Amino acid sequence: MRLTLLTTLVIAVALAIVVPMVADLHIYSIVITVLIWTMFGHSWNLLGGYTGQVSFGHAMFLGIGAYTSMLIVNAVNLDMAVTLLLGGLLAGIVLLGVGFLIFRLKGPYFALGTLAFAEIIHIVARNMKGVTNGGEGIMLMSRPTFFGFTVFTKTEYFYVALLLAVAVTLFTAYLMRSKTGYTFIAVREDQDSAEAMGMNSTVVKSKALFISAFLAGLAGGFYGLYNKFIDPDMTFTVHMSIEMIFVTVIGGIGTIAGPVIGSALLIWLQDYLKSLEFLQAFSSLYLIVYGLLIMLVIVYLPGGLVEGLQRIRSFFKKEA
Amino acid sequence: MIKKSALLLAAMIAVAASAPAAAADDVIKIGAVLPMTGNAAVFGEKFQQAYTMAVDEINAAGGVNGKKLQLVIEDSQEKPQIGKTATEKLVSDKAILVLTGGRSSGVTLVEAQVAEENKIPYLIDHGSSDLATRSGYEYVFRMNPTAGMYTNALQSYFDENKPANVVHINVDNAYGEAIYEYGLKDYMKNAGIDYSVIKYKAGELDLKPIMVRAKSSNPQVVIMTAGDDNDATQLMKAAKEADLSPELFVGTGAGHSIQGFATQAGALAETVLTAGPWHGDVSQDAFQKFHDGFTTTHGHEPGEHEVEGYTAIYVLADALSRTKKLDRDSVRDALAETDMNTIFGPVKFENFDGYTNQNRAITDVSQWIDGKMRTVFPKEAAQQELVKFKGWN
Amino acid sequence: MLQTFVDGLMIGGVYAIIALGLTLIFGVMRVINMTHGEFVMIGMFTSYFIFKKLGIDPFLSIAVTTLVCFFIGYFLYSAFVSKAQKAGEENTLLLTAGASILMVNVAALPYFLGPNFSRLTGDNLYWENRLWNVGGITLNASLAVGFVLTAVLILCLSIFLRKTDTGLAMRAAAQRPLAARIVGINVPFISGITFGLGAAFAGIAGNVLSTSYPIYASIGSLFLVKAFVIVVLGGMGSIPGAALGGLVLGVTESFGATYIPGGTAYRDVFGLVIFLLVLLYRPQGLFGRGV
Repeated sequence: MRLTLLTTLVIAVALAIVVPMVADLHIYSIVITVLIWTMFGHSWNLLGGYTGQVSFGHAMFLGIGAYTSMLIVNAVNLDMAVTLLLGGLLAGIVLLGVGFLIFRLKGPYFALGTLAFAEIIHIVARNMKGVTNGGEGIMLMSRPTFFGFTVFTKTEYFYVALLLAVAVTLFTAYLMRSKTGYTFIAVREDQDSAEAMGMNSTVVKSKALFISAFLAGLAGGFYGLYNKFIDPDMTFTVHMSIEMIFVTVIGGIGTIAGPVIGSALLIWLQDYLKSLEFLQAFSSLYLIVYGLLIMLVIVYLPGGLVEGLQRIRSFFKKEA
Repeated sequence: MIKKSALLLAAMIAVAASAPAAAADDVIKIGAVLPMTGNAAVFGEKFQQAYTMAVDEINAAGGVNGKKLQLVIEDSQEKPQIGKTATEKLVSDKAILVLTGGRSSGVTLVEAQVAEENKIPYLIDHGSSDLATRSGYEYVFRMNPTAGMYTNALQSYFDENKPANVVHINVDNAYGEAIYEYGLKDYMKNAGIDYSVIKYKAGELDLKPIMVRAKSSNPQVVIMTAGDDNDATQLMKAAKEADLSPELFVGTGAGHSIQGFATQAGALAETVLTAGPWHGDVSQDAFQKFHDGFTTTHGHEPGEHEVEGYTAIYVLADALSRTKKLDRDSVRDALAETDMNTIFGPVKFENFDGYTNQNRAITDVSQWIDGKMRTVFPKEAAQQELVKFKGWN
Repeated sequence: MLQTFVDGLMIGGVYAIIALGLTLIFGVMRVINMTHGEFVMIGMFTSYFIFKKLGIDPFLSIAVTTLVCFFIGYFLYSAFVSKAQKAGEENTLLLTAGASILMVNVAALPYFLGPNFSRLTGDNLYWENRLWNVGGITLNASLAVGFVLTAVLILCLSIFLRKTDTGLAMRAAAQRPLAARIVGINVPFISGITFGLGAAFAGIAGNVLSTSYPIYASIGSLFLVKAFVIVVLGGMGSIPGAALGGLVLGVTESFGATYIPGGTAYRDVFGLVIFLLVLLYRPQGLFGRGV
């Protein structure tokens, strides 16, 4: 735990100092996007990686958080600290009801069930013009504040993103070292044995679902306020759900470093490939690489890059 | 672990920061955010072709005050969150003085927000989301009609030929919403026309039930809104299958106004009308020159998008030639004073009816005959007579 | 009303054939195949390509489409899916999701479909917008032929699985891999064939649809969810279930979209709700053996 805490804080401080020195608008975008996706990754990882419930509909939580935050800030401009929490809470509560139903499903059927549910919410959001303003989307009308500080410039958004990402990372790390965290892993490894030991697997899974949804809603709220615009197609889609999964899986499912490394790599890779001149003609190349990477990771490196790095390390250790 | 993560982060920042931004003195850069990949790539390509043609022409004629124009395009993938990053990348390049592009409603809105925040002028050439020029932005200008304005000419036509009843088959995205919300909804109510709307999902393959529904009202006019030629074609196919036979089929631009519709729908496109931005002032020599040049270079006639893109560059060039200094604020001021005639009609930015910096762009009603789109209304601009739908046999 | 019913049947026939392939893969092999929609797309593309280059009627190129999809499916299974299967069903889900992204974007390369929409149209194409009038009911010609084709295929598949050695081997390998191996069945090979067959069915569906629908790289996603809905509704691994499920979904959507107010925009919700209800309360579907 101490190593994780130390690593996280060191990286955070390094970023906090270095990035504002070298960053222009573009670099800020990349870094903030990585931080946001790190949070999304942690959220999915909690349910999918640590508790073993692979969800294909996580975008619904992020969407609920995004719309909640946007609507609240536009209407009464509550401080972000409160708004994001509310967004997360709403996501968690609304979906707890669903969770009781959905947990009757096991394994891949759970995945499909969440996919179906998310798609229903997507269609509803597109059509409920009165609440979500439908396809036209919602623009941010006020300047949000965070603990009283106005958040408007890229630098300010960066600091908030960094703070949130660090908080989510440390929270997840701490949670997984706690008793609750161990119950998650127990249920993942062998649900029947866990129940034999007295754990109520439905309660455990519900806890994981709630916290996971909460984090997604929180991060989703920030995502909306950062983009200053949301519509159903950038929040509730399968595309977002899938990216949340792959950021974690490629990085290293079931680890704390996984979502961090996964987001950093994928977001950077996407930007890098787009900037190469000779690849302009093959603009779908990034996605081809992305798809291939997933396939290779699942088959040959199921622990993601974290496993890859560990293997390299032990390889060198052996040599020495 | 620490070392590796830090290394990765450092590498990331290094590469991102290595983007060249050296501004050459004899070049003026124009930035554009376009969907170069994804389902809307066909539109991105149109604008790229049009922009490039205009830039090449202007540069061949000596450039703007001796300086050459340079176009910098970033891919939005037609996603607002990617569009935001793309716009910010362009804004980061201090040599870029002005932005254009956007294309879809979401990306246009986001581009407008970023432009306004970072005080860089942005000329919208196609994006039709009304909100972009209804938000009081000082740096955002639009030369094309908004979705709400698309049906202006059609409304004039209805003033002269009031239909008994109208069924509007509308797509469920931002574009369709705007056409209804800012355009047809109030007009139909005020004109007292029996008007009903049936929504469909973009990309839906089985549209027959919708046509069957429409048929049950026995409409005199069927209005259709399709974001791309794919939907536009599926609509016509379904109409044939359901034997829906009104007097007029009217599209509202976008999918119905591009060559892809005629290619995909073939004979089914015959006599289909489309109401939207007009596709250029055909009476002008400059238009003919553009039209012929484009057709020769790219093998197909330029449509509304190409005309808009081409005109946008010329409007920007005009502003750049008048600007007091080569910085973003001065260019913005010059753009605000635009008052010129182009092949897309007069361009002058005004504030009216809640819109800011909006050009009173011209719209028309065109008709597809023999795979070609020709203006049929208003009479002054008509190239040929409006023909009623001939039935399915 | 009858017309709406027949319309639903026509669409349902297409759904059924896609679901047929998926029920083989999902139901018999317990592989959640997220690439199933892409095989439909490949089927559409193949018939389009053959028509454009050789002018051959799309319905005649079904043989080629079947082979193309079969081999790609077999390869996908042998090279990737079989390896991922060892780690559990969620793994195959994630793997095929990644494969789906790969296939869509390879298809979007300029060499294949490119980013735009294509259509199988031509001057001498019999099927273009062809409608048949049978006793006052209008039928979309391609879909009608597809419907008959589906029925024939279902029959053939049932016979194949029950009466032929390979068919029996397929069922054995799926139900009891270890026992099948002991008896001498080459399980990996047979599994690959099953997967390939499922993919081939999807491809045939695509071939049938290629004259009625636009063809573009990402069209597969429109079919994937529906296919899962049908497979779950009909019962995983059940062929009559897939067939009936397809027809039921087609007819329900047709009626819902035509008669329920506001039903058109919410069209997909019907299927999704049915899916969830069946998964939750009757997981074995109409005919299936259970989850």
